[in-house]
Amino acid sequence: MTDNTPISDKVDRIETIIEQLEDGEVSLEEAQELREEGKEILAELEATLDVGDSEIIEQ
Amino acid sequence: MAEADVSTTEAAELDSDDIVTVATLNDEISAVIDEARELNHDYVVGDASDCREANGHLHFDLVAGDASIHCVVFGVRYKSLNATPDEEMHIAVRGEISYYEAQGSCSLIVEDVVDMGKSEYSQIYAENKQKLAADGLLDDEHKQSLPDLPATVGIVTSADSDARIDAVTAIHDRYPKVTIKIQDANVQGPDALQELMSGVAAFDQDAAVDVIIVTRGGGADKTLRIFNETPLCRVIADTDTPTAVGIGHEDDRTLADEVADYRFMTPTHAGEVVPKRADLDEECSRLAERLDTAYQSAIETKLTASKTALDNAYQSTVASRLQELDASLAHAADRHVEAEIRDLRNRLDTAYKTLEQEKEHEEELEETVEEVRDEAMTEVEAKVARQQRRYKIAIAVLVLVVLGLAALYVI
Repeated sequence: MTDNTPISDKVDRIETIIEQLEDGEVSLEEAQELREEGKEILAELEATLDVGDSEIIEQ
Repeated sequence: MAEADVSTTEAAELDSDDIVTVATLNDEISAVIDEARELNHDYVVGDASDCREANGHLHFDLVAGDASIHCVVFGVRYKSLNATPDEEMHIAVRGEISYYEAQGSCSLIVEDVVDMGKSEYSQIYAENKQKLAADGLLDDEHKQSLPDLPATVGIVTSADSDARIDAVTAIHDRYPKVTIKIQDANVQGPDALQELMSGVAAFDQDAAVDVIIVTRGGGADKTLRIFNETPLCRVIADTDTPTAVGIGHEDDRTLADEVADYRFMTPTHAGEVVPKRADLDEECSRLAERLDTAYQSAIETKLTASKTALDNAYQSTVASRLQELDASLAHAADRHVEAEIRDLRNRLDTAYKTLEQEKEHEEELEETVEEVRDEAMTEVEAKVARQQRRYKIAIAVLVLVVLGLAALYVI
């Protein structure tokens, strides 16, 4: 995932990770890796949401 | 004409006696209209516009070019009309002119409506729409998606309008931190077309602007017609930046709406171009919570499976080991018992042999005893015999002695 990845794609990826974890067909190592990936994407999402500075610019 | 109102307080300060109130003026106008027979015509021809019902009456504007007059069909006449006016009709209206003193406005009180065909503007509108459609500008394939989260929104509207306030408020209500740039443009009048097109083009050149909004509040249909002009529609349709258009009220539709990538109903709905920050925050929290729960669940499932496997392996190992020990114990017990039996058998044999030997020995002893007894008996008998002989000898001696002594004594 990059900064330019759409928010919806990031949300979809996290949903997929959650489904994989919920399926229970992953090893402990894979579960750990998936969780870390999910956390990273969530952090990216939160950073992405912090846009703008409420300015109103009349031109 | 009525005489000047002497009761007005302004009279003392103005250099005139001909001063009237609004009510007086309106009364005078009403009187003029009532008496002016030249204002009575059989029909007035124009295009129907802004048709709307209110309080059971039908209201519409009769428009020709830049001229228009308000018309009203009272409820009692509504259903007896030859034709019901709509937005695309060119009509002839028969009725009486009426002056509404309270607002100082003229209306035609409609008695009948004759359908004269398509309105002039509806034909222009149809032609414009056809041109845009022919260039594919109305196709869904031509439309871009709005960005998930625009950091900067450009709004083209009249800077001192309620629409501008409503749009800014609506956007910041949903996403408070979004930056908003505003291009001031007249939205009606002779300069409007050029200013609207320039505003859109300027924002399209501005790399910081993620989405362009064109909006204005409601108004008479003819004031919205500028948004059906093909040059403006082409500029809106051809931008590289996604566009969103919201013109007038909920039921107003313009060609600018149709060529835009997104249509919102009114300036108040302009916030739809940005997501709700609260929803996104909630979504992030929900995802974080679900991620943790799913991870915990996956780990617990794995650990439970491992624990079960471990327990099973332990049980299996213990059971197997116990079986081995049981088998060994049974085997050892068997061997021990066999050894014990063998030992007992040996001891029994030995004892039996010993007994046999002792028996033999005893028999031999008995034989020996018999022999010894026999010998002893023989010896005793011999001894007794010898003793008897000695006694006999002694007795004989004694007898001889006695005889000797008796002989001696006799002698």
